[in-house]
Formats: sequence, C-alpha cells, structure tokens
Amino acid sequence: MTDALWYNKQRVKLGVKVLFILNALQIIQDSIEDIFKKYLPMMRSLALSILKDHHLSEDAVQEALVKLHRYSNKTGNINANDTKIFIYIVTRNEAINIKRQEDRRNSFETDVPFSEDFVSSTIGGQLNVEQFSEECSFGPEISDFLNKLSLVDKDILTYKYSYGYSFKEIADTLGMKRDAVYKRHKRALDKLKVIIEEANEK
Amino acid sequence: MRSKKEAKRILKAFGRAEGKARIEYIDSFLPEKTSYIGSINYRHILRRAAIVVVLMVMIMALAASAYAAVLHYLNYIKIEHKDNDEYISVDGTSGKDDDYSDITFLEPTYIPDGYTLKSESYDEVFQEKIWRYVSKNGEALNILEYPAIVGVHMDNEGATRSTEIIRDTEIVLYNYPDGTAGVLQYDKTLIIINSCLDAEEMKKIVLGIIPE
Repeated sequence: MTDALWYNKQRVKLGVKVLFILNALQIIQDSIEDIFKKYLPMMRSLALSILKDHHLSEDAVQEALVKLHRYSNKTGNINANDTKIFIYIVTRNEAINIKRQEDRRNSFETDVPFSEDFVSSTIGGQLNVEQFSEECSFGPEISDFLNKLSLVDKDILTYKYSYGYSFKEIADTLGMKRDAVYKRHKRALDKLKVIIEEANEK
Repeated sequence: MRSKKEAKRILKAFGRAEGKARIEYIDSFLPEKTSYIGSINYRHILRRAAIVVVLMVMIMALAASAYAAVLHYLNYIKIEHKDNDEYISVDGTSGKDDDYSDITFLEPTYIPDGYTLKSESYDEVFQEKIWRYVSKNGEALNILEYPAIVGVHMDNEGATRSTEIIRDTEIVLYNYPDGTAGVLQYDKTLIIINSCLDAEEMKKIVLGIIPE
C-alpha cells in the first residue's frame, strides 16, 4: 500500500518536479541543470533498459540526479567523455539498486533472487563482447572471461584505459578504496594471464 | 612475462572498446535529436492554462452534449509540454469532487500471454486501484484507475500520439519506441495503462477492461 501510495503521489513529471524543487531551494547549479537538459533522454533510456518500467525508471533517474548534485565536484565539464561515463555509471547503479529492491520484495513470493548476470545482459551501452573478441581474434576462453567481468571491473578498465586514470583517481570517482580498485584490476590481470598460459600450452 | 604483457594488452583493448561503446550510446541521445525543458515560468504557464481552460470548457461542453449519450470520452483538457502531456480534469476544476466519491473500478479480464499478476493495491482514501503485472522477461504492465478528477501527466517524448474509439470509448494512445501507454475514461473512472507491449496488445487489454 505504501509503495502504491508513493507512486500515485509522483504524478508530476520528472522534469517539472526536479526543476521546481531545485529552484525552490535555490540550490540549483548550472552544471546539474545542464546535465539534466543534455542527458535526461539517455538516463531514462538506460534506466528503462534495466528496469523495464517507466515509473521505476523515473525514480532511478531522479535518484541519480540527486546523487550527481551531491557529487557535483566530479562532474566538471559536462561535455567531457569521462564526465559522460560518470553520469552513465551513476544512473546505471541507481537503476540496479532499485531493481535489487524490487526483486528482493518479489523473491519472497517467487524464490527468484536478483541476478547481476541477467541485468548485465540488458543494460544499454555495453560492448558486445562476442563481436569484440571476434574482431580481435581472441579465443573462446578469453571471450568468456571478458563476458564474465563484473560491472565494477568494466568501470575500472574503462577509466584506466580509456582516460588514463590512476587507481587513486578511479577510487575517488567510483567511491571505492584505492586498494580495492588495485586488487580488482590485479585479480583480472592474473586470471587472464592464467587463461592465456593454459591456452598457449594447448 | 609474455603472458602478463599479453593480458595487459587485452585488458587495455577491452577497456578502450568498452569506453567507446558507452560514449557512442550516450552521444546517440544528445539534445540536438530530442527536446528538453528549459527553465519554466509557472506564472506564464498558469495564465495561458487559465485561458485555455475557459476556451476548452466551452468547446467540451458543446462536444459533451453532442456525444454524452453515445461516447465515453476523455473529459480532460490536455496541455502539451515539451516532454509530457498534462491532463487537467474538467470536473476537477469545476468543483465536482463530490460526484466522484464512489467510483467503479473495472477489473482487467485480458492479460497478454506470459504476464502474471505481481501486485494489486487499493487506496480507500484516494480511491485508487493499481494492478501490476510482470512478464517472464521482467517487463512491466501497469493498469492504474483513479476518479476522473485527478490530473495526470503522460510522457510524450519520442511518442506518436493517436486517438481511437474502442467500444464507444475514447482512448489516447502513446506509441513509444519501447512500448505503449493509454489514457481513457469510462464514466467516472480514469484508466491509465503503461506497458512494453505493442498497440494491438494494448487495445486487447482495453477491450478486456471496458464493459460490453
């Protein structure tokens, strides 16, 4: 009942509601308004690709905008590619959080737990690993390994190799500890090294 | 040593390709292809809305007298904003709330294959009833019913809008790239349907709600 009542009260569309609240509080910053104007369609579509529900998607986008406002020191130039990636990651993670909550609510009835693999396969903007492996002539073991990388690992690899971020910078951006970022990267590297060695022995 | 170098090379190529895929996805939505809200002057909008309301009430009154006997029409004024259509109830703005103190909820009788009921909720205070269905793939179908004095907003971004008559009931259909939505009024009940389905399935759902 509480959920239904909450959803029913959110009849005002996202754009009007967010701008109204931020204007009323006079805390709107140019960067958040610019992010909202420029990236709202992408954020909505990304959230919808995960949640498959317009109402929940709007909730996710709203949460993401609040978070982006909180981390406005990380958004800087909103036209920069690394900022775009940050907005993408924040939106994606908020949508996944909502999906987890929904699935947890439903699992009491259906025994179907939340699965990151299922969500990962539907998220917009992801690299087609099979196609990429084929283009680079990687074997099936490497393709399988890359396919199984977690979303956080992919975020780390994107920042490190697309934008040259250090482990410390990646940790600050993603809200992780530097050691955790380093260990995840090393673990991926070591695992892939073993796969390559085994493939070469064959 | 060689395998470590090779592993690093692969991760580097993957990181770059993943970054490129994300940027391509993000850039495909950039503002030159879609509309967005600028800053909103509420006073200006309210003034315009008031003029529109007066004009539309006059027109709707004429239309209602002509159609009331045979057609269940959407007794709302629609204001098109850049990314949403706002529906304002004619009866809601003319203080007829008491007439809507006891509405009839119409139970859905047709649900597409593969969908199951996830939840059914009823709010006695606000007289709101919601049926939520989910498919095996996790796609949602939501049917919401309210007294037809409630104002609502429908997402119109990227949507093709059409008005149809189904079993003497007017329905405004929104066709999105990834689903459809519909708004209709039957007597005193406003019905909103949101889904990832196509228009044909939407119409079958509507036929399963409206009495014969």
